[in-house]
Amino acid sequence: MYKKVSGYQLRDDLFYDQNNNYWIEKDTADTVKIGIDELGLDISGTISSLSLPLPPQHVEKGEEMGALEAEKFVGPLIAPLSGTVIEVNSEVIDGVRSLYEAPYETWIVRMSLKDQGELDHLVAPSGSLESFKMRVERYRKAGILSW
Amino acid sequence: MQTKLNPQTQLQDTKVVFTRTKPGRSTTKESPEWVRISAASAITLGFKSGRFAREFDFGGINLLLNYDDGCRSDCAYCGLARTRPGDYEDKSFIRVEWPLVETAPLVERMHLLESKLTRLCISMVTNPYAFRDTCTITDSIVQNVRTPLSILVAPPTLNRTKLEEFKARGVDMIGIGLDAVTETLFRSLRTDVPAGGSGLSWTQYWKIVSEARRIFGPWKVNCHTVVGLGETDFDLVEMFDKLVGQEIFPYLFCFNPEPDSRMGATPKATITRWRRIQLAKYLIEEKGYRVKDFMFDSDGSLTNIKTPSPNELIAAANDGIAFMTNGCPGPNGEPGCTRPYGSYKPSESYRDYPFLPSTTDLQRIKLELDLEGLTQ
Repeated sequence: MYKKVSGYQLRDDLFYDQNNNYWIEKDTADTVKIGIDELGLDISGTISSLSLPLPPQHVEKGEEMGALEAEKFVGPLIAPLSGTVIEVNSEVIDGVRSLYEAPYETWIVRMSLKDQGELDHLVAPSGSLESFKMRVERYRKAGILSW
Repeated sequence: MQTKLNPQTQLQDTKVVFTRTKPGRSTTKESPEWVRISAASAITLGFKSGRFAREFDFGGINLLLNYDDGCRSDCAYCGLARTRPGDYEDKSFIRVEWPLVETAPLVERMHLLESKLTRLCISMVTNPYAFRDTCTITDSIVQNVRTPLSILVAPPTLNRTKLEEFKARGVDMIGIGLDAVTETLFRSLRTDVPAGGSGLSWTQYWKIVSEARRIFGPWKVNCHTVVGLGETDFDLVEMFDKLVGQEIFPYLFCFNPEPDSRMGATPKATITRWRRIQLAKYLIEEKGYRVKDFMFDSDGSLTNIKTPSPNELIAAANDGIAFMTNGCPGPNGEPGCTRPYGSYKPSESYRDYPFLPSTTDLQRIKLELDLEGLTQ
């Protein structure tokens, strides 16, 4: 299930949003858990806090649903899917340590999907390895990753 | 745009080797073999992944000496203070972690990225080994990297001879972290402290300022002045005037409370006060204003600026330079040491800009400055 790709841990049974560095796990028939993948954590520097929406809140794919702040960086958390945020992980609001300790077990929001077809826009588990390698290379070329 | 070399780039013409200077202490990660570097420096040199909230060219590399027993000083506002709770290794400095790296590969990376670097600085701490180790690190840098080097000195460890040695070894500029701008404040925050006795005295600091000025020359020495430690606006303006009169740069820093330090609960200066002090310093440095050109109330707060024309103040605010980070210049006089997000969080208003403020930034700055309230 876990694989090491370009120096990062990756779970090859999850969906990925490669533009925003999220992993997405099917939770129930119409809900998903969303978290930040190991690469997404790394490129931000050391994250100090997350701001997440107060559920229930409807979000549209591509819209801002929160913010992430690190020691030298602040940026929006963009919704990878359209739907309703039905729960946020209070553990990561209180402290971000668990994001680093278990990035693929520490979800940040749970969403009910507007439409099951939403997942079609993501990188499917079958294509995740190659897609991930390309993402790492992109950030490496931009000088964002340590060497 | 942040630029880094490809990690596969091979080092071909530099090899930095350190020999241990403290026999018997070789298992520790202390200077000169190890140093701390700022988070921004670590990102730029590829020691740490990360990015800045806004993209800009960053090349000001800050090093900090590291010792197991830390800094011998106990300044009320400092993250490295002796009596601040926690292990020295885990302490933050200006509120973020300073990664510990080996000096040799650090110098190698600075050599590789030299064309992108604008200013290097070694920050001493108050420690008996600090002078010797600073010399060792200086030699290594000067031999391998042409970027101008500053030293932020620890006056209790220095005298004239040692400053002359820094100069002889190729140090370009000297910084003195005066921080508190009056003797009374200096004594209360840095001398008469719970773990005192490290020799931090107003007299010794000024002795080093004078010696450095004599040895390094005009505009090659700077004094750090912090806004928000309990001083008045008058105290600051008077200090800027005094330093500029001696051809010494006053560098402005915004107090940013370090959690758990003795001043951890003290709020930082309001943004309006901070902006007005930035403008006042700029007017003194660049436009020839003197103390007499500023008016203060009975509490020493700046109330008015006597100007031939309000347009002059508006123009001064509009060019944006007043609100940029104060730091030693790069090789061509450009901003060299820019310390992004050094005294504010990325989500907060920039206290000082590591780049020339944009038009949008200037609109915000002018609201914060409330210039009309200062010229009526």
